[in-house]
Amino acid sequence: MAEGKDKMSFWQVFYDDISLLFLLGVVIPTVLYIIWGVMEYANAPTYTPPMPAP
Amino acid sequence: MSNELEFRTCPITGKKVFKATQNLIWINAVTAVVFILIGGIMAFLIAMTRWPAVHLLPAEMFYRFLTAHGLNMLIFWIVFFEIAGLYFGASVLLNSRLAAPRVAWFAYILMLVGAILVNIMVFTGKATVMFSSYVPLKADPIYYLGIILFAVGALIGCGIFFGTLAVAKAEKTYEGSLPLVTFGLSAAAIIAVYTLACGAIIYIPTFLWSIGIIENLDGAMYRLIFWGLGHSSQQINVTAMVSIWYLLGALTVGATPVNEKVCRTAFVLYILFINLAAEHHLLTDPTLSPAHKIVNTSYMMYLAVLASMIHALAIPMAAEVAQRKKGFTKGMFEWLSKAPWGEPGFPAMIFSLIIFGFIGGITGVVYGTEQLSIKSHNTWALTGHFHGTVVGGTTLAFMGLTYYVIPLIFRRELIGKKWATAQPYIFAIGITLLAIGMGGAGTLGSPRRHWDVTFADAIIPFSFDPAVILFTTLAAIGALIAVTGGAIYVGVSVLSVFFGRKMAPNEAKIL
Amino acid sequence: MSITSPEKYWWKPADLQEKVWITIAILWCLVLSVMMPLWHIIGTQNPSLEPMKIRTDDYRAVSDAFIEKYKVGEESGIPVVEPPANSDVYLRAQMWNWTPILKLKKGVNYKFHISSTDLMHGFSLMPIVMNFQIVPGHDNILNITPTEAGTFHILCNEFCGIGHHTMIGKIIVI
Ligand code: HEM
Ligand SMILES: [Cu+2]
Ligand SMILES: [Cu+2]
Repeated sequence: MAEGKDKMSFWQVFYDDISLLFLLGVVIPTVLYIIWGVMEYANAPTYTPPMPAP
Repeated sequence: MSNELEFRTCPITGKKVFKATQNLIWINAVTAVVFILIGGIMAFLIAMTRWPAVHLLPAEMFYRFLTAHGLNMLIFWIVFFEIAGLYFGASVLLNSRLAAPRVAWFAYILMLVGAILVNIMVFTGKATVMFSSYVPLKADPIYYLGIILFAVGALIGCGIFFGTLAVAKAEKTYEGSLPLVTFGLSAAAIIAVYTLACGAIIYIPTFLWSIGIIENLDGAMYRLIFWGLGHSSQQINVTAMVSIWYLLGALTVGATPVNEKVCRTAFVLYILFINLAAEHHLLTDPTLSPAHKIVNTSYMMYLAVLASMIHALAIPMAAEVAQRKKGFTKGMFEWLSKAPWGEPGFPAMIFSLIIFGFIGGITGVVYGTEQLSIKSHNTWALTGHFHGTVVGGTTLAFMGLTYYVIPLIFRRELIGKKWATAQPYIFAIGITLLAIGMGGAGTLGSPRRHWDVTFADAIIPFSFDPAVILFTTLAAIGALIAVTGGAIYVGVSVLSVFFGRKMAPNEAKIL
Repeated sequence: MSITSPEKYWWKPADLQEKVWITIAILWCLVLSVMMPLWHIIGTQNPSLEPMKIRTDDYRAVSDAFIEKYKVGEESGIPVVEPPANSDVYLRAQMWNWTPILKLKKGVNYKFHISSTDLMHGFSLMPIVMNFQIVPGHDNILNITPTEAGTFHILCNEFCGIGHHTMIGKIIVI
């Protein structure tokens, strides 16, 4: 297999690399969805309502 | 388990089937069928309750059984079946022994214990929280513990899958790239790992909260991470289902992917982007910014939609090419009309594809749009949408595959082939009516998870447009047909697995 | 076949039919993607734009004070409230009612603060079917201008316990 790798398209090698796909598949949603989302909730201001005067 | 290296050679595909793998596929698949049976009985009861003309169960039982239906179907049936599928994809398709069968049995036992604990809690009324169990609605701690055990077991199952890929590579049981079906199942397993990790992140604190160690959990944050589990698990289903479409295409008409690059690209897009789609559950939530909502549902998610569009072309295309090679070349559609419609696998695949795409997929893209979600969020239309995806799509594909797994892997002849052939038709019609009924009633505002759409007990009187009741009735009729289809599936598969004629080692007939 | 390994070099150009289909699909995905941000500019109905948390006790206090101040009557044991134009309106979801019943004027803007003091609830405005998730500890802020007179109802479409199906609120627009 090794000698074939040179002629092999970069993309084919990339697609065959399950570990790399695994890493990307876990990192992308963790960053864009979970971490970003948690940060938004954590940093949201807390509303102190103005009590309407009686 | 006596000898982990004992195998037979499949007379049809020439693949090595290891005894240890076969046993594990058997136990996981049979367990899955037990859970679809429980879930199916619940489906009948809740569907008959939502039908105002029957209104079968009292409110308390309805909510309890609805929780049971969601969990047993969406989680237990699907995941046990998927674990069986993963072992098949890694071990059988790659001609490899399964990595660590003993650990795989341990994983199975964890999942089973978890599922049993959850069911006990739900049926005794200690966890009437729906499968989403939004905090601060609290269930018995054992419920959360059950979910955690189940998730850990499933995670170990994914580990066995990846371990087997490594073993197969090291022992050179295949050459070059993974077969497409195994590649697709790898995508499903990758998605599953992320999914189950989200499950751990959310259920461990929730468990601690339920026993009083943590005082407060933020509901919105819970929803964010819960859907990282709850929605991404649907993406496992999609990916596994698409892989099974390719598999059924190969088994029924001998379809070969026209272009490996195109099909694999679609799976890679799933791996990279599909999990972001969990966001569409949060579109009408407070606090989360439009930027987060738009980036996650749109720019990234539509790449996953693109992937589904690619599969939607590639699969029928492969079937067409295979059929034309066999000489069915008259006109545009002879390849389709001469397809094996009298075998369960082909109609199951085609109906699954159509229902998933046209009912589940289109509604999914529409309801997953930030502003349109306002119109559909938590209405019954949503329930209609996912009965198109996960029931008409995934479940139907799994059902179709079962009729091949029984002779190929379990070496039993099917009992009731005629029933098995009729089953996908019946189930597909039922689910289509069910989904249309739910969709119509929901579009007019009928809420999901609701015991009484006539609002007889409400303090402020309210009644729906009569069309809602009409659509609800349609859904109920669909439910009756679908439940019949489900019962045939359970009947045929259980009878065949336990009482079907044992096939001779070299018997090469599938159906 | 898809159950066996492909040939050694499988990275090959797609054929014309595939290319056409994929191009159409990409274009359509782009249209869909552009619509969501675009609607924030050209549309008038968008989900909450203001991120805001609120302590449950604070929310209960402010909505009680709001009811006290603008109460004009009572219906089925629930206060009826008529807030002035352009004011903050507090609509509280609780097991199992929407408090208070609101009397609003057509064509006037109100800033709604919808939250819950116990579990999650689902705001579902009938018969126009607009739905929002209501989460305790978070303030779902919506700028609402009624464009039609009449009686509207609010259902709850998130499971909130055994009385979930009885939870109905009302908005009267005059
Ligand atoms: C025999 C076919 C089936 C019928 C007749 C059926 C019917 C129903 C009905 C009537 C509901 C209640 C909706 C509501 O009140 O909001 C429901 C909910 C649900 N069903 Fe099914 N169903 C079937 C199969 C399945 C399958 C196979 C799955 C999963 C693989 C599934 C997953 C769900 C889920 C997740 C819910 C939502 C539960 C919740 O809102 O918490 N169903 N189904
Ligand atoms: Cu409620
Ligand atoms: Cu409710």
